Amino acid sequence: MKPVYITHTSAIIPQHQEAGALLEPLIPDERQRFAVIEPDYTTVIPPMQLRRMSRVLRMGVYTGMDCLRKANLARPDGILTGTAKGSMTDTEKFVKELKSYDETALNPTPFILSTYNAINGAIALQTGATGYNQTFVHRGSSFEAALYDAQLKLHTVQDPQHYLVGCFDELTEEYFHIKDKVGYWKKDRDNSLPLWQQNDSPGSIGGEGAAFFLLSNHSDGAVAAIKRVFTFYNTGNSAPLASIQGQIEREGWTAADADLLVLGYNGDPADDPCYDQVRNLLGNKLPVLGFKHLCGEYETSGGFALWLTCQLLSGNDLPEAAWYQKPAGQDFRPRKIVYYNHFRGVNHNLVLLEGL
Amino acid sequence: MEDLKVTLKQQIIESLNLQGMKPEDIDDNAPLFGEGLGLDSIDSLELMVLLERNYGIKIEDAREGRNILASVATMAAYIQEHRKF
Repeated sequence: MKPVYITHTSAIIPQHQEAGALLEPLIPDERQRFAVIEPDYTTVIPPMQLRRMSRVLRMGVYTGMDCLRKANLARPDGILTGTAKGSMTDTEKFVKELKSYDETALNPTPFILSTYNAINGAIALQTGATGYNQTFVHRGSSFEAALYDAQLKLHTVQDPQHYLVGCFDELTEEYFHIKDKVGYWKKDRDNSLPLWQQNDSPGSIGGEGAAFFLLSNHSDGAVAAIKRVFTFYNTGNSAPLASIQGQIEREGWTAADADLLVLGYNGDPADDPCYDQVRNLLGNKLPVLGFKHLCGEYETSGGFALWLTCQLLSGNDLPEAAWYQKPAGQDFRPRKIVYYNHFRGVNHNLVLLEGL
Repeated sequence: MEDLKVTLKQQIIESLNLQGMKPEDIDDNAPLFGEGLGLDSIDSLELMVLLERNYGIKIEDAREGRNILASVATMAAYIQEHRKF
């Protein structure tokens, strides 16, 4: 399949991203969770729309519109997103009101905005985009499913087209509490240590974020090419190594070609062995960019990983603490990048990326 | 009646999340929809929920609702006459 090109990015993340000070100083997780640093939404979203939007809606619409603004593009040809939870705040509010008011006198807004595709709709309304519009709710492969669909769609057209592709998920107090009960999060954590050095206790840390990318079928002004996206379902507690190797070979690469791995180490002894297996397959000496120690564990954290990789490819230097395994020397600019991430051993995702 | 109007304005601001607005910014007789506050059809549903939750008033007829929700003054007058609590 033809590659698709990333021309612009935007993200709301739990870390600093000011020009010249990317990820500096590094913000550690607090009480086993991360919360994003929110921008001034009024610069991008009209006040009459903003007043109805819950937090994740603001995050998603802001990053999508900001991405278009950076590209100086008024209207995308398509909008594709991935989210595992949609607007949890609105869902929780609606369900609470159902109970409180005995299924009568319910406000329509939380119900309308709790639907997964509310952000796509808001961006489409704001930009007047009437083209392809799709939201993928595939738990831990939601974002990668949107990426794959964008690649499939862009594969079929010749004229230059631009698709806005993104992901968003929030961590609410209730969600954190419920998932804590079923062992998602670590009970204790020394946040002065890297997450992957604390995989002697079960669980990870919670996270959230939003990231959008402008993808094109033409390479003008692109920072990276997405060569191949592949998702695997329910392969258990081991990485799907044969499939990963097969995908790499289908792309015409060999295992020795990769010069950077982007892996989702999350500090959970049930999850991290998969990443070790991929390192063993592709080379233990390769530089490894970790990302869940910067954004936490959530279903669409792949958006943060891709955004961070694009920052590296754009010439930004990442602080030492961002790396699981540092590259040798300065000004490391990788060419062939393998991203592998999985969510709780159920949804496994592979993206082959090329720096331009 | 004046107290009711101030309370109602406060409830409208909270219910519709009209950030940065105070009760005194809303004219009693200004239209709530269109030119006045610029509210839309979803807001009208929210206002009907407001009336039901806070005053026990259920608006069944959409045409009647349009007249009741015309302004703060029309809403207050209707509440005073029909409120259940």
